Amino acid sequence: MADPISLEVITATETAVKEEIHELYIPAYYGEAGILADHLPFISILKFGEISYRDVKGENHYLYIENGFMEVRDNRIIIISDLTIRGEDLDPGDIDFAMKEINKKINSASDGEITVTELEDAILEQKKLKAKSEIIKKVNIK
Amino acid sequence: MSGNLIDLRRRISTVKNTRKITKAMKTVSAVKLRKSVTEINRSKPILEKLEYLISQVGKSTEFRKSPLMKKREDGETIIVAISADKGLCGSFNSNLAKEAELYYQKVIEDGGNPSFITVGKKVNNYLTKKDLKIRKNFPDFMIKLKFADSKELTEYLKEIFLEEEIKEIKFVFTAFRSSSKQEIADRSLFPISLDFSGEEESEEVEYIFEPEPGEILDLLLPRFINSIVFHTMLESSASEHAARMIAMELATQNASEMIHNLTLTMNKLRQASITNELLEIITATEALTN
Repeated sequence: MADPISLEVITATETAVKEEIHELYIPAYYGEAGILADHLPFISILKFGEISYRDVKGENHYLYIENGFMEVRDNRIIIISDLTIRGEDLDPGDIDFAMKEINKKINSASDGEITVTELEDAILEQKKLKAKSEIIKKVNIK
Repeated sequence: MSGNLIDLRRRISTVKNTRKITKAMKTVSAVKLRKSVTEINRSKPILEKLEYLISQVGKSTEFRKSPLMKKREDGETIIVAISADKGLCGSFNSNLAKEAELYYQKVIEDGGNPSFITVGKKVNNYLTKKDLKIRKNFPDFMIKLKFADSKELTEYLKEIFLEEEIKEIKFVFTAFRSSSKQEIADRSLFPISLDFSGEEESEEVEYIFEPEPGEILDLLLPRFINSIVFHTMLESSASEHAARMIAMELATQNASEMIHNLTLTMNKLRQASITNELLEIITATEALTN
């Protein structure tokens, strides 16, 4: 087995994850990236979406993150993000509710009730919610 | 005589009530202090990591001068003074306000043009009375400090630095060294000064950047500033709780001492009145037998 990679996920108020892992999948700037042991030094901006990683025991974990940075170097990954939520902490009820609200808003666009920027924001929000519900599905399967 | 006794009893019970309150306030401050210290420790990693990342990205790129790093020869100097919103914390607020005022005078002496932005009601009250120039006050941030609040302050500071002719923005706050030691310090925010030349690394690391290093840096800097502001406010908040805890501890001790003295006086008075009554009775009986 390859050497373990140490992973740290940090937000402004806490260290959300500090673990030894084997592999990591992450929404990097130019699309999803996978990080395995002995990866080249790499710095990327992260958008929003799902981070998944397999820890040394072989268990899969899922996180939702928004806006951040990642540095990979010498089998060590540091992720700094504005928002990090563990998959287990996502509430399906809340997300369903928010999804309904946002769909209503997007549908109202055809009536010309909201501005273009509002619509763009709403669509972005919808994508984020979709990413969150995907994570919930995966956590439940696990 | 008996009137005096009743007065004393009343005073003792009043002081006892006050002692209960100061004791409770001390306990509350102790809990809040512990919470603040945990928050400081939790927010430290991001500050270190951001600084490290900025230095890594900064080294690997033709360092683009961000407008946030622009140095100006003249213009306004803004002093952000952070105090508490509430009193009863010893000399915490007054020390800070005085220091902020000294700082203001110093800028004037150096031929600068200072003005204040205040966080917390207490320092605002003091500086308003002194009739110094205050651009804006942010009250009620320190009662329950949240990251969103510090972000609001950061955004405001960033905006004025970018849009107006401002030489520098500096914090004057109470730095938290330990529970028993806090001291007033200043911390420069804008223009951001970063020194990459200092740390020579033995091996140069060739990173893959996604996207361009310059673009990454433009996103890193605002977060770095946010973290500095939040950390500074956290420190001030922890210092406030520590100061209040000590002030309340002293108040409790004083109250205990006062109760002790008052009780002593009361006992003496009571004894005196008993002796007096006894004397009267004895004199009366003697007069009767005679």
